[in-house]
Amino acid sequence: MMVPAFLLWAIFMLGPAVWGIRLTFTNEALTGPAAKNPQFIGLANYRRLLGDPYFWGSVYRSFVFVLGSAIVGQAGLGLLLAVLTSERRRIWPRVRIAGRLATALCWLAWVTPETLIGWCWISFLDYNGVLNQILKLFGLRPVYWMVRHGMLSIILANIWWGTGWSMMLFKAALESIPREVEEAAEVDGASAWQKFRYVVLPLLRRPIFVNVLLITIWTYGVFGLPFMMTGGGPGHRTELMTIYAYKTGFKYFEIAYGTTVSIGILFITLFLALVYHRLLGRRT
Amino acid sequence: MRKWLSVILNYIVFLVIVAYFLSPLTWLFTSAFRENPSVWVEFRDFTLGNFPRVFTGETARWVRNSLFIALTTALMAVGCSFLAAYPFARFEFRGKTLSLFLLVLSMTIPLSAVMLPTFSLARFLHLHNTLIGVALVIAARQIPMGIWVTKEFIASIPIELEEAAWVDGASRWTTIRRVILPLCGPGLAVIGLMSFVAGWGDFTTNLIMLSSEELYPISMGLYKASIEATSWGYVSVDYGVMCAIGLIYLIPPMLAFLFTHRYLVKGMVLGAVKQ
Repeated sequence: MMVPAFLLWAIFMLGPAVWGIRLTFTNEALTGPAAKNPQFIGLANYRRLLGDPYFWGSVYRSFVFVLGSAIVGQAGLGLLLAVLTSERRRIWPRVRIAGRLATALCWLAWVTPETLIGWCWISFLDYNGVLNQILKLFGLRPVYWMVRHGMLSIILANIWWGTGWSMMLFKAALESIPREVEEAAEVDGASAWQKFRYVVLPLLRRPIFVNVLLITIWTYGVFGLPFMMTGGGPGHRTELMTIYAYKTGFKYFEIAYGTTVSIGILFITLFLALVYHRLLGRRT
Repeated sequence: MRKWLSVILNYIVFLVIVAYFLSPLTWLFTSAFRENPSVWVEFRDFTLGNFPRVFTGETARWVRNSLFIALTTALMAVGCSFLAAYPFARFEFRGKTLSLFLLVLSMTIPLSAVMLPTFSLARFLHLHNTLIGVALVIAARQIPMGIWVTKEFIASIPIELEEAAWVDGASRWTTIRRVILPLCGPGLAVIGLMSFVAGWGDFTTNLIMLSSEELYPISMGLYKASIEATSWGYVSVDYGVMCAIGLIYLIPPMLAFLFTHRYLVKGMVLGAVKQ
């Protein structure tokens, strides 16, 4: 009974990871003499990796991308939205519909397929696009967003895409806080800010930590959206690890070395996943 | 005074957030209903003519290919997950904990970390540049979540229901088909919807696996159009039809989300939220 699922999983999920680790010790390529007879070349790929400035550049850019779009952007904005639109707390009291609207838009962004997001954001950030139209309304000069501020562009697009998840998680976490705890603080005369800072936030510590861990894992793996928007350019300025791996493999046809680049992402995500698993495991 | 200040501040924050989430979509929603739209937003030349044109020529093929990939993915994911979940829920066997651990751990490997070996492996198996190969790769990535959710679902069905049938002479297969399967319906529907959406919206798998344009689904079509638009100028792309297909592209994930979002948070982060 378990055979079909196991086969599918073993071949197409476990398989590539194992096959990939094997590949890193070869010189497999799509063109050239190595394409026909891939040879085992030991640790040469790893040695090349350590001395490759473009690789270290991509590690740094991936880190900035994750820090900006996942940790600050998605988690921060998600928490803000979850608190502001919380039904129980009514921070936007007369604008209950406004809260619903913001929530719905945030979800809509989250379910949008990634190429459609790319499609919309490319035109949104175009020199003649909507963002510059808005800037002109305020009398500001238009900007070549994706050329001048490539990293900022892909970070903004990725925040737009992923915030829905964090908001959903934080909303669930907020609802699970017992009503009495907050009422007690109110009776003691705490202001809304004090209530949030000293009562709600400490209770949210665990969900925040778990969420940051999860979206960090996911954001390290983000490829399609930034690839479609900037393709790693201009120059190498938005070349994340995933994009560098793709380019090495499919543009320069060095399958083995490209895999070695992406092994870095594999190790980062597996490490974070193990931390996540231990955290959840300790509870049960 | 202070109170008014905070109300005004709230409105400003609200407006900024709504503008941030709404403005990238305005162009999509207006251009889909315009004749020969440009890259900026205008409210004129209203037409519904873009939508019928989606279902002719190249774009019709994109829709067909996307549907094929999504349906195949959903069927394979549901079938495999259901079959594998039953032993996990009902039997004790050696390596059960370990295999569940590996399943959950593999869930976190992003496709982009293994895209080159996936391609290399698919080429080895002669599955590259086929739609079924794309669906296999996507379906495999849905298996861990699928098994996990179905396992929990089956475990919540009292074993007494099955035992009663066994006493009456039913075999295990019969109870699985007649008792477990109908009761698992909602869980399998959720997995089916999620896998459908995964296949429908996928970009990276298609990008690495497909090389002939006849096999392109919507995601690849939009990608191709965006490349053409940015490299050869905006006249080369029919924005009206592209935005119309974009809107159509958005409908299945939206509907699926309405049905599944209750399960989403429960599914993976229950342990994180509960104190």
